[in-house]
Amino acid sequence: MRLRKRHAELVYHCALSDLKRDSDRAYLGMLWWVLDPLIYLCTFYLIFEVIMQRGGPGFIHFLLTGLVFWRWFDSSVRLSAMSIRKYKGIISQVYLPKILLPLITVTSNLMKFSLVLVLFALFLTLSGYPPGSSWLAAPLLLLTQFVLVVGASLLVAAIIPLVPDLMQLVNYGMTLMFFMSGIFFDLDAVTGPLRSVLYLNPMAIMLNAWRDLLLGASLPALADLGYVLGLGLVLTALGAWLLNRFDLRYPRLVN
Amino acid sequence: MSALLTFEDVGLRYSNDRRGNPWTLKGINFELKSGETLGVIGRNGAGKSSLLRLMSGLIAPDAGLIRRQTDSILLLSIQLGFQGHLTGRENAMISGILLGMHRAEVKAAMDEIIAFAELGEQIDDPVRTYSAGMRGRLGFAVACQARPEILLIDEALSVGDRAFREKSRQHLLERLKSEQTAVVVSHDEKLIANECNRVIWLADGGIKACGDPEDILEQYRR
Repeated sequence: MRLRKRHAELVYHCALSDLKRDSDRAYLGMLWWVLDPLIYLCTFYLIFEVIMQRGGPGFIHFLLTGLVFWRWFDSSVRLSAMSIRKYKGIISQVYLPKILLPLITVTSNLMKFSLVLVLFALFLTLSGYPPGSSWLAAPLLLLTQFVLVVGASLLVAAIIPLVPDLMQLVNYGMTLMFFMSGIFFDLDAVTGPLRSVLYLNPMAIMLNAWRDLLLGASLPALADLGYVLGLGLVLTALGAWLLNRFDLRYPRLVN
Repeated sequence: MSALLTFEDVGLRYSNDRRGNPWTLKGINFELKSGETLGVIGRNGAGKSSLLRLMSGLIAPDAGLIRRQTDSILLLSIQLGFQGHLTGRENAMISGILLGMHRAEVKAAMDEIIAFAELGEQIDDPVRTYSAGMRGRLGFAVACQARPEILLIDEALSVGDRAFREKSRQHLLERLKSEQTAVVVSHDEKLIANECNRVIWLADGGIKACGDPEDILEQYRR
């Protein structure tokens, strides 16, 4: 597997093509990238704030912060799981290092997320959470989560074609992770040993760190970020190794 | 002349088909020399396409060894990666990069591609609005720009109307006559006889004969 400059060009052009298809496919086009987290927001707001009356002050911001950063992780990983199959026509005709395929998905999701992030920052600023000095640490958090997104995406992309049955497990796993990452409740409210178990989940740490940074104006614990970064790097290495190991096997598996 | 590509006792099997004999190809030995045009003939299912896929490095053999002196080997395919929602220009870019070019090279060749494909201003329309013929012409025009060290051609790539088919055929013939190292799989005996320096006859997953095109074709016809 040799990576070249034209491979980076290919990832870029294919990611753009993905975005263009998204915006062509529906009448509202790119608006869906923003509507999607907003609809989730409304659903959870309705359930927890209006019906169960458990939200408390600042619940909208708490919820939206969780949803925005969760959606980045969730959509990248779920779509990457299908990435090799998606390009099966191409890889049966021309050689491509298979690692490029999940990277296309990761890149197009990163582009989408960037747009959402800009709008989210604008929303925070206009609704009483203006940028403070703690925001300077945001690039560090972005990088940490990006490495985690890449790692998880490469790993599922590598494994699903080898064992297609695991797709169901990935779906259940992502749903379980969604409920365990403290998107609509505060994990710190959990007491006892269960709490430290919940914080083994890297997304629980990330969402907590984002809320501290954006809503609480406090800096994240470096040890926590180090754990997420380390885990992300291990997953990346494992995913890349598998993709390379089965590089010439995949075209026969998905066709 | 040095060997660009060497097959040593190569075998390929698809475990889930062909009861009894799972080997699609077995015991394949040959060398591809720089600058030559090698023809491959054989009946349907003889393993010709599998042989090309092994040469191009798309799949790995299950037995034996393939040595390559270059990794610039291209199995020519037209409309590679075409997507209906992209314009002809955008598709040409992606297809060109997939065929081994850099973005700058595709950009530089874009005018030539548009002219060869006879598309004019329609190059900026989405490809889903194209007719099958237009798509094929664009695909062929892009593929023409690829300059691999080893070109692999599976069957005649005939697209478009009669005039375009003649134009694309002429273009391929010129490429084969040049210094281009190429492997051609075809049922067109005239093409094999006229353009190839050597011919491999595949039968039952093995090489039945290999050598001068006229001799091999004569045995093959019997």
